[in-house]
Amino acid sequence: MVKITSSDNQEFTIAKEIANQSVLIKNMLEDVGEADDQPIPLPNVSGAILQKVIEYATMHKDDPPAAPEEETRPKSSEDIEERDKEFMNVDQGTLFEVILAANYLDMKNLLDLGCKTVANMIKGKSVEEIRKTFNIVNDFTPEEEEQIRKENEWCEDR
Amino acid sequence: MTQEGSNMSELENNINKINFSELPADVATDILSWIPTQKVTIIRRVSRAFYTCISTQQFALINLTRFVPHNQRTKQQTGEVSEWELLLFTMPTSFQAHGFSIIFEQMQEIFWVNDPAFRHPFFTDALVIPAAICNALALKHLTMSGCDLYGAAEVTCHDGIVSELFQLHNLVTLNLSGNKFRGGSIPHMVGNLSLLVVLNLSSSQLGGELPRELFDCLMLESLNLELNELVGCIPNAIGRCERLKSVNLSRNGLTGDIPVELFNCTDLRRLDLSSNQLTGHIPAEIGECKLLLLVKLTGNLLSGELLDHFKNSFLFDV
Repeated sequence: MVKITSSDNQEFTIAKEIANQSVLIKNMLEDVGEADDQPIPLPNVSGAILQKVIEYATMHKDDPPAAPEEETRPKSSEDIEERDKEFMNVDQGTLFEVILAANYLDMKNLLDLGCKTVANMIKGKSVEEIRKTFNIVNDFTPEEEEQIRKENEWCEDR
Repeated sequence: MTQEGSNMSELENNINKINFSELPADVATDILSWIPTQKVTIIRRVSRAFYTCISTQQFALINLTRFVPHNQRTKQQTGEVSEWELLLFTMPTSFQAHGFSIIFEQMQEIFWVNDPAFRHPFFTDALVIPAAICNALALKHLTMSGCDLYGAAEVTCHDGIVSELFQLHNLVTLNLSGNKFRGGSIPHMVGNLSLLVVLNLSSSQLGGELPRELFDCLMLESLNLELNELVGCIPNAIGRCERLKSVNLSRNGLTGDIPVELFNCTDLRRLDLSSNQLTGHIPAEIGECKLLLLVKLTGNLLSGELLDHFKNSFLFDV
């Protein structure tokens, strides 16, 4: 078993095969060796998010190792397992924090899942809707925006 | 899309939490690279952060690698313009370099002809051949005929045809006939195309003189520059292209003599120099070209007699 602590000092004890899904923790474990049972501090991840990440890692602990990427298969962000879709059914703030945690902990599959989920939220939306959904301020001057609109003429307004 | 159902209190909740703009650049790139190419260029308009992220070469590489279908890369074209080819000619410059190299990695041919049966919405506007075409190094046959292509003035203000095109040193066929290069000249770089066999730049509003480098293309068999605004003399260097079978320089403003060297090209079957302002005698050496079937020299200021030289020609015309 491996002990990890979150930024708000919550301690989690998890099986090694679950911990190893994070390349960051895996490397740390290899560095400190088996004997050390000091908890591994993860100052960038809150307890609530870490809980979520562990839930994901537990769900996927029996996954076969990733097959090499197939060149011929068209890749799509819609390619998400049902249970993962369900797992990502969270509010936007949590979603982004899970993505950041996956990035920090170096968990490629979870990061991929998060990125695809956000991409799917962007896909069907207009520029205006995207700004609204993600609280993004339009920081272009009207002239700049017009310039980009012109560059985009080939694909917009068709 | 499950997140979309968020109610008001959830939205308010989100305001205090991390939002999209605070994600590290590589994560934002990862997310946006999942949006199909055509759509992702539109959403550059969302904010500066989006624009910067989407405009990098790295982004274009990830995005195009993901979305250009694999069969697209190997498919041989047959007169039809694929969606991806069109995107290439119209997409933002940052996408074009990787676009051309990825899409044309294995494809050896672009074949567009303005067939009345084929009308694509993009053709309502003029197309410009982008400089990034120099990345399509595998290209052997480039035909974009009657596509209303303009020279990219901002890239090459003196040359009507974008000069980067002439870095495609594997080209065997180059047909840009029926376009509008608005008096631009044939670039000297044309001499780089050492494998070129067929060159057709007819009816394309090309001006200036015939560059002598054109005749560094020693494999040239067919040269068609009919109906342009070319001036000056026919360079002696034309005699170096001994494989020439067909030469059509008619309906230009060419002056001077017909160079004797032209008749080094003893494979010549068709020679049309009509409707220029060529002067002097028709060289007797024309008789060396025993295979000539069609000779058309009308509409010039030439003197001399052709008849003696041609017993087999079924059509000739002074």
